[in-house]
Amino acid sequence: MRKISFEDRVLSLTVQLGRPGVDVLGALFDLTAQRLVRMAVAIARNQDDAEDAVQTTLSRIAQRPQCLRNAEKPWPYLLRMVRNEALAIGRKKRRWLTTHSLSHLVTRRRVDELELEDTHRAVWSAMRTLPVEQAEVVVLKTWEAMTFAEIAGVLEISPNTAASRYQYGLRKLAGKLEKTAAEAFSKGGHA
Amino acid sequence: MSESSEESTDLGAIEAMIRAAGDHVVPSRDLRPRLIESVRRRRSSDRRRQLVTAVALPSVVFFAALTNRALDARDTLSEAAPRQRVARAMASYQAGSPESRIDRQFWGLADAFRHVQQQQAEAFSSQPISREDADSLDSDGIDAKNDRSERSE
Repeated sequence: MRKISFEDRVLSLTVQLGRPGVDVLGALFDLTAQRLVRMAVAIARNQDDAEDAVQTTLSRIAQRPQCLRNAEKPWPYLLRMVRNEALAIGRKKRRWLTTHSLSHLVTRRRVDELELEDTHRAVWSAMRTLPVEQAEVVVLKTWEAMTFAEIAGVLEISPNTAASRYQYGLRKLAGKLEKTAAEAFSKGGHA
Repeated sequence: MSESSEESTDLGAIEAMIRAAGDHVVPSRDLRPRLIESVRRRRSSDRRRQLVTAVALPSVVFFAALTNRALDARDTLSEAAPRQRVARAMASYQAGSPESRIDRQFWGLADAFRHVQQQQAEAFSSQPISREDADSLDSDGIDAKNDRSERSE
């Protein structure tokens, strides 16, 4: 049996949105919320604002599903909506950016990944030091596995700009995470 | 060459590290019920608004039609009964619009003039004619005759 891709599942739920008596919104939330929140946190830099951005976006889609249904590629469109919402919230609440620490993030703690927790926290701390323009490209490239052309479509920039932002961002992250990476690899080697 | 390959290896390791941290941040537990609740509340308020519109609009149309019919009926009644129109005109005259006030002043003056004329006429007819007046009237008549005869001669 062929495995349905993430994009296809989003597309299929998008088609069903607005049908009465079916909890399509709940299903769409279950499928996309983690990835949307992750993207929004990278931009808004705190959990509350990121969740507000996701909630506002999904409420809007529940209200007017045709905007997502008419999109050629629903998933990149959804990411762009969340990004715009997170940027708008970030503009309104600029003061939050400096006052919130990493402890405000809601994190998942898997038993088998407990020893990686420090590494993950280091990554998220380093991500928060990047300019938003670079952080969002890193998120889309690394976590959404998008090409630079796709990233350019979501962020409305040229693919070259997307590529250079990614390179700058990654170098900065490498500089901050070098020590953590060395530790992680030495632990991995011992294991 | 070796430096650049070392750097790309480092960046590859960093990319792998970032990728592994992707699932570290998750939505809070209350986000889902919060979203569902907000959408439900919004839908119900939209439905209420639609219901109000669905009831209010026909009501407004109904009352407008009713008022229109009532006005039509009144107009028909007033056309059928000219006395009512006269009564309305009289009432408006009595109420005293600026034009009717001017009319009233004019007619008041005319009435006063007629009244004075009538009084004079009555006074004139009731007063007995004295002898001297009668003579003067007669002499006036004789003088006129004389004048005519002199002119013919």
